[in-house]
Amino acid sequence: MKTAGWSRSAVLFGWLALAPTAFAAGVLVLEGDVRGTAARGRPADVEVHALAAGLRHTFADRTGDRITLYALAEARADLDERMFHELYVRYKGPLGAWNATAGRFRLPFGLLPGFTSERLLFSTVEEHTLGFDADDGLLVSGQSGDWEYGLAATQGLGPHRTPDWPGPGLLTGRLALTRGESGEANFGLSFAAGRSRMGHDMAPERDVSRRLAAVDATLYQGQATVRLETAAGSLGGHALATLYAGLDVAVRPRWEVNAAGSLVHREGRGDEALFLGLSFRPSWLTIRGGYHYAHTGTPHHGLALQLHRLFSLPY
Amino acid sequence: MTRIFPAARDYRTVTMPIGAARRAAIEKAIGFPLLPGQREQFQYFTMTGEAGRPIGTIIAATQKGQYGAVEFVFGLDGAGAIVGIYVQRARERDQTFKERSFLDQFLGMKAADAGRLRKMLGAEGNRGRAAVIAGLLKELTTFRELASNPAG
Repeated sequence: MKTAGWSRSAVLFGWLALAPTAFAAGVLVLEGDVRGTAARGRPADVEVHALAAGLRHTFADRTGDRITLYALAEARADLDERMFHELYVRYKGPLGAWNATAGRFRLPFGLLPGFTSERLLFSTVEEHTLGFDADDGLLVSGQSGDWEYGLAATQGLGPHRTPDWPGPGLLTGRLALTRGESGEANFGLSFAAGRSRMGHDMAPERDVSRRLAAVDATLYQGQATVRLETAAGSLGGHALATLYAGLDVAVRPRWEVNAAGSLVHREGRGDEALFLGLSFRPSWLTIRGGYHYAHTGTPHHGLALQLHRLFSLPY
Repeated sequence: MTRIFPAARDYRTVTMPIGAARRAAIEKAIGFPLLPGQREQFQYFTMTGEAGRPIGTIIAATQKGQYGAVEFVFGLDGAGAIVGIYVQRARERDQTFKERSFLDQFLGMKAADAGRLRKMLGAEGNRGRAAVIAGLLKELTTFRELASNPAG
């Protein structure tokens, strides 16, 4: 299901991008993600998982960067599903101590502010916790010293659903601390409260109440990066507990081992998934492949191969 | 950024194009090619103080290490001298390039010290430390080449 009515936002974005300003800078990012999957009992499949174009344009006044416009347009699932995954305008306060954002943005919850698994072969658990990773609304966020924060009031619809007003309503927030000479550790505490649509694979659409608290950590240690997130609370009146853990280790200059696992426990049922894979990065492409196991999913065992290319063009 | 310029009130992003002639001059001066993604544009941040007055420059550098990108940040005062440097992200096995004793030797260096940096780079056997030296050589040279005559 796609969000319609985004054309007005695109026109506004274009108008602002053309408006005169003292200083301006930006970056255009183009991405392609093609995947092949094979699972026992199913024919092998190849799809254009995503084509994406992201544009970040920053306007500055005499004292510093002030307004950022960001749009991330995506075509997914062999180009059948098209949408603006993110589309916002952000006013930046001095040194980013506070920022006000309006539009569709990634939510301040768990690992989401600093990490996305959208272009990876194993997904984090926001589909189970929040139902989506981005939503429409208002966000106040910022950074001061080693601390960062974010508080968002959003519609609770996510980027995939049919537009509605005002929507069920969701509050999310995160407070995080970065430690270490090179920022080797980041720890976050998050909450989510309100109602939002179920994950976008669920049909028909229905709203559920969410009351969640989460703890996350990102650790950089030598060649290894560790990401952890655990959340607990209630979803639709039922207890929910989730855990995500990911480990990336650079083993050779162009090779990386990737391992990840997730556990979702709801209504007395546990759903575990595991992934073990390799990433290879020649200068012009990233090639990822791996084995995926889903304890309750069908089929249990699967193999995946991904070709991913990202162009970044600052201007 | 405020770690290097605690008095800063804000920053402004500056992106400058690198033309073919400029790129050739930079690559000749540093002795190695610019990395893909760094060949067409150069970006830095002007740190501003009271009333938007520029108080220095922050450059976020990326150079290839043995296990991927070595990302580090350094600041230049109004005279173009390095006033602070720290490693932001790297995945090297040997982490000695993060040590203050290594990084602090670059304080006070300017683009005019390119010859000294080239000598250090030639004598350096450690990939992580070499990435920092090469990155500094590249960024200082590019900044001087572009900021001294932006339109040229």
